Amino acid sequence: MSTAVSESAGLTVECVGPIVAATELVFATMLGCTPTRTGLAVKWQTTPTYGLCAIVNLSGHASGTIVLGMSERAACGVLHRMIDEIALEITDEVRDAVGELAAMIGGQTKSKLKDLALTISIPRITRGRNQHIPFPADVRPICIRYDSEIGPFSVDFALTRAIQTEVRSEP
Amino acid sequence: MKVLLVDDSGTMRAIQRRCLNKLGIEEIVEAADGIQALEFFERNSFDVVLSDWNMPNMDGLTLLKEIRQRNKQIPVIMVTTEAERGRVLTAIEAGVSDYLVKPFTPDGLRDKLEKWVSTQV
Repeated sequence: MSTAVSESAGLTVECVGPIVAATELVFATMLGCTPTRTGLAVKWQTTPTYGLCAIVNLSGHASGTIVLGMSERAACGVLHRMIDEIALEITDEVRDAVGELAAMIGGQTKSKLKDLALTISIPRITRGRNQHIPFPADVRPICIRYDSEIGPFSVDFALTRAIQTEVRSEP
Repeated sequence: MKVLLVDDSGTMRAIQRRCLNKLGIEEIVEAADGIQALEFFERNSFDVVLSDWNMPNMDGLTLLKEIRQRNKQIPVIMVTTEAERGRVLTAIEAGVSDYLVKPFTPDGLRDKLEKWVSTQV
């Protein structure tokens, strides 16, 4: 593994703690859920873990992607817990609620990684298991799987240091 | 009491609207971005503005600055995922009246809104 790839992998690993803390805080505060971690693994594909995904891009001194993925049942549970509305399928309201959770996880994560001066994008919602998630190309994403009162979900993420141009003066 | 509620997420607007309703506030105008909010602001008289920061078209910080050019007194509360000290200071320099970080508990939201709603009644 080259040094650049190794450093980027290190940065993604460094993010595990902040992302776990952010995810558990957001689910507890907004949904009254106590998610339980059921797995943590390096992903070898860029396809999503679940069919419904809220994708938040990070940029700054590092760039990367956080993906909150969940089953249809869990996504409908998010809407129900947030605003007490029942949905039996994925509606615009369900997409919006899941996207807002992802934005909060992204916001909390970046506040714990101050040195990287990150900004977060507005969340983008996608559906389907056969799509390509645009993780940074030089680093393997990590997938944290959870179970919760509303059903299983996952947070997939990868972060890589932004390339900095070094200016050298002539001798 | 008339409140301008600005957030691109309908879910977040619903949460805040219900909290305002519980505080007895029924006159709430909702906007999904800063541009729409500014249009409403110029055509109406509001007592309090609640605004998200990260929104499409015009973000909450730009909206705050636009509002402050038109009205220095109206309470503007930022309700946002932007939790870092630097971002809070930026909002304070732009004239924000108060700040609530998402995620928030129902009690946290109620306490924040109650404070500003009660001072405006």
